Amino acid sequence: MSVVSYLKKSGINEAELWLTFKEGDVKAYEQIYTIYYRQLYNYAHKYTSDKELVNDLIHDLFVKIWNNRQSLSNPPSVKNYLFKSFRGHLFNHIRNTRDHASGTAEQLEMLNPFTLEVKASPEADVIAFEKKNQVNRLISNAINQLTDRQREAIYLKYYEGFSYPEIAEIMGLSVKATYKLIARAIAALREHAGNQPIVLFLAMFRKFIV
Amino acid sequence: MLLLRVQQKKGRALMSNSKSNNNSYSVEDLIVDESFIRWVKFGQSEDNDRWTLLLNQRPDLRAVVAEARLWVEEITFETATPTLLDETAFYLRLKNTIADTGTEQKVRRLIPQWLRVAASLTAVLVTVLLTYWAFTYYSFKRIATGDGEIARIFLPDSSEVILNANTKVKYERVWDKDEPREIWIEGEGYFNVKHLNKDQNHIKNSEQFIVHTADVNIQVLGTSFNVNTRRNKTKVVLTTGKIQLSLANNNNAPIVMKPGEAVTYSQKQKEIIKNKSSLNPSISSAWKEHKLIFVQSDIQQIAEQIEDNLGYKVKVNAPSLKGRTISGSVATANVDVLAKVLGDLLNVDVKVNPQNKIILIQEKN
Repeated sequence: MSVVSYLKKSGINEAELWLTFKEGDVKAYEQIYTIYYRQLYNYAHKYTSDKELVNDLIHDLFVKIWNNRQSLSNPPSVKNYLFKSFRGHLFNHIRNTRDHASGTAEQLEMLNPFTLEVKASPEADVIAFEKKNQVNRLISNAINQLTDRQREAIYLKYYEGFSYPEIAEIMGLSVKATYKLIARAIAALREHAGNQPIVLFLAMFRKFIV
Repeated sequence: MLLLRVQQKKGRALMSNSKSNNNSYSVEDLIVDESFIRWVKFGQSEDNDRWTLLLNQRPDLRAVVAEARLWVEEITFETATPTLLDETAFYLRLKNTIADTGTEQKVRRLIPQWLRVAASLTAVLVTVLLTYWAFTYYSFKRIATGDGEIARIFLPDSSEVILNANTKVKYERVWDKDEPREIWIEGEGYFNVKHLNKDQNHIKNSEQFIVHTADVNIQVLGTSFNVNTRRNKTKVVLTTGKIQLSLANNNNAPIVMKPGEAVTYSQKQKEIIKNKSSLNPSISSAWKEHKLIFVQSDIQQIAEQIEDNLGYKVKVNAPSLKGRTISGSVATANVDVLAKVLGDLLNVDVKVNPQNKIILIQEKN
């Protein structure tokens, strides 16, 4: 299920929630950050393992949103808006605290790795175990060959389920460049996974909220 | 097997229509079906009904479903979830920050003046003390990793440190422009120190970078090296650049290290052993890629490496392993995989007890 259908199922209308929050309703605001805290935590963690920093960044983002609530727009997707804001916030922090005062946006991006790891689940059956081990190694190897930005784009598309225009907005690219980035990523994955149907694998990465 | 089948079909298009009629399912069809994926991952009632019904009606599909299950079970990305404690702390903190910007409460004047004054003075005193204590404590940033956890951090000068499992570091949050850069470590870490020095003949204080361990001080200008302080020894392996290593409690001349060299200091023997390592220095930092590399290691050394890197206690009861050595590499990302590979390599039985975090190595029956 996507976030939207999950919310629908729980009887929450996100657009209404957003409007109510903008009017200053603390309960609505609490619902919003409760829904998105973990997702942003997971996303942030791919950039840095520093838990304190991750929590600080998410905290500052939500404080900023509260303080500026009256002047915010009404985004069609709150998730998209939050991811985009968070990413911008993260890179601002990097720019302010590191010694890269002279770096361009691209240079800054190049210096920040995005880690994506495939989870290995254990298997009691020896034969099944061998197969799983093979699959895992294959996919991990292919993913590690990607560039950081390709990995991030794949993550946003296949795990978080964002659309191309949404990914373009989050990563600060044109929609055309986003298509290119993901096409290149998939081509690279195909190349490194031999003849395996890697595009099928990507469909399985989809995150589900229970 | 999907892998085998696909390799044999090299010529054909991979996504050819395998669902020619509604009743035929291939592994490829199943692994992209949202309902199937949800069923395998969560077994919810609606999906469960659908798929168990199908299996009952079509026993011929059991093999296909079993294989598709394998693929779906295997393919997920590693997720980082905050602990319940972290999450609760986050919500409380945010709530507090927001509340501060809220409206003021009306003050009720029921408490006598002198009591209020005394209370405020005490509060001021306590705050001052707490602030002072917090300032001295928090002026240092402290980071610690748990069992089997590898973390990557960036220091204020953008030097990078990769921390291995069960490692602690501390460093001042703000680095003075006129002071050397310093960090304290306990455990194991790989350092990529940013080179700031412009003039070799005139080295400024801030261009120095010092790593402190319990036994040694490592001074560099801009290098990459691995530091391991486990088991009452400090071992430093240099990958690039130059290191000046001195003992913490000793004023003897420091040792200068060159790339490829390894220095070990033993607390017990209170002596330094320097080797011009013929081994590739990346062997001692293979842990960064979730690997352990053994070069003619005996079972004792293997056990120690597993304990240090995965946080599992290793118990060995296999006389056939005495005197045996192995060379090779094992992946450490998953302890069950590691156990299996080790068991195969050494031809013994390796059992993992996840609750007590113990690995038992015994003879095969």
